[in-house]
Amino acid sequence: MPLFRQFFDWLSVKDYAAAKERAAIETAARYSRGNVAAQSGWFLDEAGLQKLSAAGDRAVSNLKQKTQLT
Amino acid sequence: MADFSDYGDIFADICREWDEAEKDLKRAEQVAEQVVLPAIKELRYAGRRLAQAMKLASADGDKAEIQKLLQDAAFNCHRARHDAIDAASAQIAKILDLACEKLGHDVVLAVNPQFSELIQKVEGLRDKIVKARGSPEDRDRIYEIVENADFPNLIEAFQKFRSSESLMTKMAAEQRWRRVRNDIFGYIGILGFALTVIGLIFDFRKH
Repeated sequence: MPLFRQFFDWLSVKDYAAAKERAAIETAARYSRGNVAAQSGWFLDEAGLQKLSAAGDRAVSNLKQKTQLT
Repeated sequence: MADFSDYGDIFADICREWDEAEKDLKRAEQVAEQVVLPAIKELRYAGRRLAQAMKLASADGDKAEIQKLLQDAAFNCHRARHDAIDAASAQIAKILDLACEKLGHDVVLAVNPQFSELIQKVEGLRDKIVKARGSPEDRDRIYEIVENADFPNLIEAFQKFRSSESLMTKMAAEQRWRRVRNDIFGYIGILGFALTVIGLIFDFRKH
């Protein structure tokens, strides 16, 4: 992360929210016994799921546009 | 049609454990969405065991095998309850540490006069968890106490702390801005002083 961005995150206290997010992922990974994907921090939370869903919607509408053009 | 009448007790046990796990999950969700994942995975494993048991029962499978699968499902639900409490309390402890580290003790204490009580609550609960892990014979009894009293109390106290987070963040941001401004003025002052001294030296040499 560029130094100036780190500085502005510190100045706006965004570093606190980011640290909490990292801590939650670490906690989930630590208590996920036997689940290798979760232990490696590979899982979707609500925000991630919404992001993925929005990206999927955009991709479908792009695809529709392209098929209508041809 | 599959006959489940032999497994009434174990099904009742699974239902009870599942209900308790749901209650703990709902409380843990209030701490952070991600921390309920281990407990949800355990419930998923319980669902899998149930499906396997039903498949076996519908094909008149081995009763001992069905019983074992159902017992596993009950155990998975039981573990889900413990995971939800363990992960949520660990996350609360981390958040409280981070608040002190990132926002500053003065800010946290100014906004939350009950902060030390909250720390005592989380430490008390974590101590009980450690004790439960150390004594398997008392584990269920200790977790039951935690589940019915300590955990809901902790979540309630933590929610109060959380409601003050935006104010704490604002205060910490103001403090940081003030620090940057003071540092800048400090450096300008030092630079000004150094230039004055250099100017005086040159002036002195001229005369």
